[in-house]
Amino acid sequence: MSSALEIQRKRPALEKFSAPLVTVPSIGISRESQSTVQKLLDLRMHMVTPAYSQTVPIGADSTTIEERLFDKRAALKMKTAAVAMHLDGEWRNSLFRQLDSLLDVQSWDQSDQLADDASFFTFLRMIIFVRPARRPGIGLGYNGNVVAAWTTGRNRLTIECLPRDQARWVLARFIDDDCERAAGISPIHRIPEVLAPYAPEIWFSNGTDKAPTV
Amino acid sequence: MVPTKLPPSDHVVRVVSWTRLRRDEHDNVLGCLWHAFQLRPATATEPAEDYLSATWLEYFDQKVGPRIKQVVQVMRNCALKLTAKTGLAVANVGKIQDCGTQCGVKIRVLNEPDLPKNPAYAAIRGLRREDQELLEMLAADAVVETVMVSIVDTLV
Amino acid sequence: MPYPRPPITEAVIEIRVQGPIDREHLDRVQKRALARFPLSEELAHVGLRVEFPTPAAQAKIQHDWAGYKLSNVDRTDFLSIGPNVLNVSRLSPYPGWEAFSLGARQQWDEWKRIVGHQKIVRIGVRYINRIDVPLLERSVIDVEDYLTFHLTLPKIGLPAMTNFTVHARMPLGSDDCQLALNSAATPSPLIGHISFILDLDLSKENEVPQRDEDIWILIERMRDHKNHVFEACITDKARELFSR
Repeated sequence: MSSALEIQRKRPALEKFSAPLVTVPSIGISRESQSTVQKLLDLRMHMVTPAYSQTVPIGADSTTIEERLFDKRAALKMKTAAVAMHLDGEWRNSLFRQLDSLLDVQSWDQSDQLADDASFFTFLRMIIFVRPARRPGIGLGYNGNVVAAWTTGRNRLTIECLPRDQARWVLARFIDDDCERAAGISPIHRIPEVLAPYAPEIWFSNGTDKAPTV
Repeated sequence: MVPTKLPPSDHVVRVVSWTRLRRDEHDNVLGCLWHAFQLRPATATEPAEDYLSATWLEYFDQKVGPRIKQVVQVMRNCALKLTAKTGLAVANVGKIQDCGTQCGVKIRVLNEPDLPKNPAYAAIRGLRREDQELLEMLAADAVVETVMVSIVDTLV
Repeated sequence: MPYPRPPITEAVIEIRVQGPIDREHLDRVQKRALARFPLSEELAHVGLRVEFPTPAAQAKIQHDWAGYKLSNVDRTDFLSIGPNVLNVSRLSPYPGWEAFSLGARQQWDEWKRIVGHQKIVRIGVRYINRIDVPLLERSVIDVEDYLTFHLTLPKIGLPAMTNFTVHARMPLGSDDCQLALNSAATPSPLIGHISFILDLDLSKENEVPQRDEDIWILIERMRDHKNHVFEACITDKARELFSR
């Protein structure tokens, strides 16, 4: 294979996703070497951000909680755009409604923390990977971690999405009237396996709901 | 005043913000997330919690009016911000203690009057910070009802 | 052929004018655009200016006002207006060419109603794609299985690349347009995937049409050229990924 690419298993930080893997070479002093470095950096900028990226927003920073919630809702929706082609349209619209409800100034408590971007990204990656047909209810923990909750009768599954693809999960599963409880912290790519013993279709499947991913 | 243990048959009411209510995919409220019973970690301006705050429901006289409505009034007198989407988790004291026992934790539910504003103030003590299983049991089994403030405000 | 799940992360139509258009007109365009794009922020070019008066150098950060960037509430549609530019972009999910170009045309018409005739100096159509390839237990992927625009290593037994970025610029050979083509490997936002960016940027700066009808006929043709190049840059294996 003359164009073989080795896969890097190390999980990159949130800001590196969808960014070209541009490595700045050793910096020489000649004009040519400096020009090359600049071109590579420019390439990385131009291939990632929305158009007009050479500019920065100006104006006062958000100070009121209403402004900060507004900005956060917008930021999370933009994050969703990175994976929107993998989300069913109705799923995405419903997710946005849930975010609007979650981050509403009318219901905001002073002890609440704004949703963490990295946690939300873990949530999106988990949803696309696990492909539950049924959407979860969405909450927030302290530290702004996004919490996904599925409830079917007495059966409860709660997954707190941590940054860098980690998930803290807790469940109560009734099987033949016996309650089994379990909790753990797992990487999200292991969620299907750790939940498998508890027949998670009780939470994830619903005859009428469509899968999140197309 | 000396803190007093609450009887197992009684209940305490805990304020749960909208973000920590357990909801379904259509935002219908089903109860509480375990995070509603999580001790708040330290912030830049406040130390970490080492107990949970609540209000003793049976302190109030039913003859005066719905107890839960009196709880809400006292909370408001203490300058707690309660929105229409704030939830009130009503938890049974005995069940709280049972959950603790099952997880090897001795939980005490005490009336610790905060005079003069809240003589019904209660503290849930003995919780461990990151014991998700216990907190999930509290949310699922000890909470007997979750009521929205918007509903309480309509009671007469 | 429209794909069920086009791998488009951003589509852009840009019209640059000689300008500069004064602030008052741009403010009016912005106010009008708020109906469709209620989120608005002002933009600036930020530069560092270093002066060398004796005895010591002084550095100042300069903000030059650059216009507005507006978006809809869902942050999928963006409108950028500046002293020399009108730029319409759409993030994923891509609604299709008809909806996207119609929206752009509407913004252009509105802009022109307020600003009036301006000499157009550049028209650009740009599509940034991200092709998400499932790894399926593989530790090495052959880029040429998915892209025809990539680089080839010399056959001297080198190990596999760990990343790549390719940039090329050329005349398109049609309509006197220029084509900038970029491809790169990138960490994927999907678990168990690697992603390839394929970025096609078409532009025309010579003999740019000035009449509205001609502008939009050209933009339509640029889009056709873009499609032609895009299809030539991907393999059937890549197509399968977004055809399901």
